[in-house]
Amino acid sequence: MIRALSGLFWLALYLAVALSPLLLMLMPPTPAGRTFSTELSAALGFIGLAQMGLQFVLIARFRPVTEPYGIDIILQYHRQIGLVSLALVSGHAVIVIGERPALLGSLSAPGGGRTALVTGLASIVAFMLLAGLSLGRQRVGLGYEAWRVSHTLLGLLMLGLAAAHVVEVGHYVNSGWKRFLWVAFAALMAAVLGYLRLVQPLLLRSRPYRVVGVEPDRGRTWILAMEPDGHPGMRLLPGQFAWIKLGDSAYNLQEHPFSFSSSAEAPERLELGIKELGDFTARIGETPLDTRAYLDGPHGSMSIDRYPAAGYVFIAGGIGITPIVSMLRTMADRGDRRPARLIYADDAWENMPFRDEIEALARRIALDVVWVLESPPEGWQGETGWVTAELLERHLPDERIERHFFICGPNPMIRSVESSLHGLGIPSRRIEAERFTLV
Amino acid sequence: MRYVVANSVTALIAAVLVVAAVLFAWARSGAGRAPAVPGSPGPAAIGALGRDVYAAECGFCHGNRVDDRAELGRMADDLYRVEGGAAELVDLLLEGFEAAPERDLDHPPFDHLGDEQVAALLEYLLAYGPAEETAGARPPITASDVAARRRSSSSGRKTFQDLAHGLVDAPREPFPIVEHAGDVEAGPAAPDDAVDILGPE
Repeated sequence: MIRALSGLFWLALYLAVALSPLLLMLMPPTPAGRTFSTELSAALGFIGLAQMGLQFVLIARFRPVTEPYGIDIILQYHRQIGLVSLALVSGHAVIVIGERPALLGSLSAPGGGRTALVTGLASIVAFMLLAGLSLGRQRVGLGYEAWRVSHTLLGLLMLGLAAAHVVEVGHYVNSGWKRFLWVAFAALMAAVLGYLRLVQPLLLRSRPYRVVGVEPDRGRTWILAMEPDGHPGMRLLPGQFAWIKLGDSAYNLQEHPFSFSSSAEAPERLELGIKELGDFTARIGETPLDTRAYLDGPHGSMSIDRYPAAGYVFIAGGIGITPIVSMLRTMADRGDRRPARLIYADDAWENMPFRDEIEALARRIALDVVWVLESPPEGWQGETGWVTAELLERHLPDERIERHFFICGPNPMIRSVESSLHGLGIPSRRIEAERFTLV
Repeated sequence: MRYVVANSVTALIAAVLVVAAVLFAWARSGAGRAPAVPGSPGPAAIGALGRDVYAAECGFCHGNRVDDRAELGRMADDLYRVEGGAAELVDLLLEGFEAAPERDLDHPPFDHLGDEQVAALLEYLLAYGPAEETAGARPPITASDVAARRRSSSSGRKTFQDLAHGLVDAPREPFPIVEHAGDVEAGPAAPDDAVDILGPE
């Protein structure tokens, strides 16, 4: 209840700030009205600029803001509304220049309008570059850390240029206090970034962790175990995740999100399940013991504690098993006797991380497992292929409507499983998944 | 599932933003000041209308230096140097001209402006001119002057006298005359002599 109210509050605040420029424009001194299209272009520009600034707050991982929705939703929203904002400010430019093409001539002539035009166009170009690099990072071959740095710099640049543009144009921003407000707004957003990069690492530094175990598991997966060093650690919900930084410096930009595989009842020893998929993860197995680590978390709303039910069905694909293991281990530690069914799909029997762990858990709690293999070994009697609607129909418990479903795996799998579940009569509100449509 | 709700809410937020922009534009586009009444509106009304026209039409390229004495003063200085005076100014504004031929820069035509708007705009700009010009008696440019100029310009450039009364009977030339081969009364300057209105480099 409180979370729902909190969620509504942040949403209302967000909309208020997003629309406040329109109110600001109406405050005296108000210039005379112009044509509908010109006024529309101004409104689109101001709303787009407000969005630019708001993004800095959205991605700041402020827990009170992210908890009501789930941080994965916030990050996905950031992406979506970012593209919408690009369309809004581009619309602004298209209308302004389309109505008076002679404006482009002022690019080659000094005059009051040129600075306004140049700052505006440069801001949009920076925005387009930022969006392009985000959408096509891998195609362009840009490394994750390099992308992060470029994203931050381009974001700051486009916000600063847009603020300068608005002050230079000076049509609605036509008084000292209005100019001050816009500059202060941009500066405040930049300050949020300063907080994230400078202040938050300081806070992280006071809560370090130490790597106490680097164990290989099947399927090129590593279990990284950490203990809190000089502080009580964090209380996490089963199924949550955290961003981890390795090394002594809390200012290190290299940080990646991984799910906890450890039980929520054992915060004195946190474990992350990490599969070798990229540059960072490929070398995780070489991490020396006693390496310092910093954890930004816990984050995530995919947890049995957030969705109480009479029983659960977990559907895991590949490394998606990790948060589910956390949930199952927690149930075991709590003596939770609610029925749990796990449908675990992977390519081969030898490659399934946490396989032994799961078989052991099945003896401790009311868990039964359906193993689904794409490439089964000889003599395999179990399910093969992928998690299809037919497979689900065969293996879903009879009282399926009473259970809550968790899906964790690659995005296409989540989509197809969800759609299959809908076809089997499971309503959306009983299905939970966490997608990481990160870049 | 959260994503279903989230995607719907995102679409809703985007729609709210766009609708708010449209409503704002609709409300604001009706909020222009009423055009000056026919006849001779007083100087205060002309100044306000002139300022509005400048902000709405000229600011995009010239910068929104509304009431900025330094910037507008520079522009007004150039206006006062135009041979052919007020008549030429009206022509230039309505028809457009080559602002800087070496840079292939054209000042676009503004014939979509009404007669009152043109007159008020020119009066507004000229008021920032050099002290000796603005202090002297210069007959104001009126809407009917502009209308007359608009009618006549279609059949080629006319002389100074073709403007309505007042300007012909002026006790002194309203604009400084630059010594030039040929009599200014024989016709306005050729386009090659058009001044770079946008200001010095």
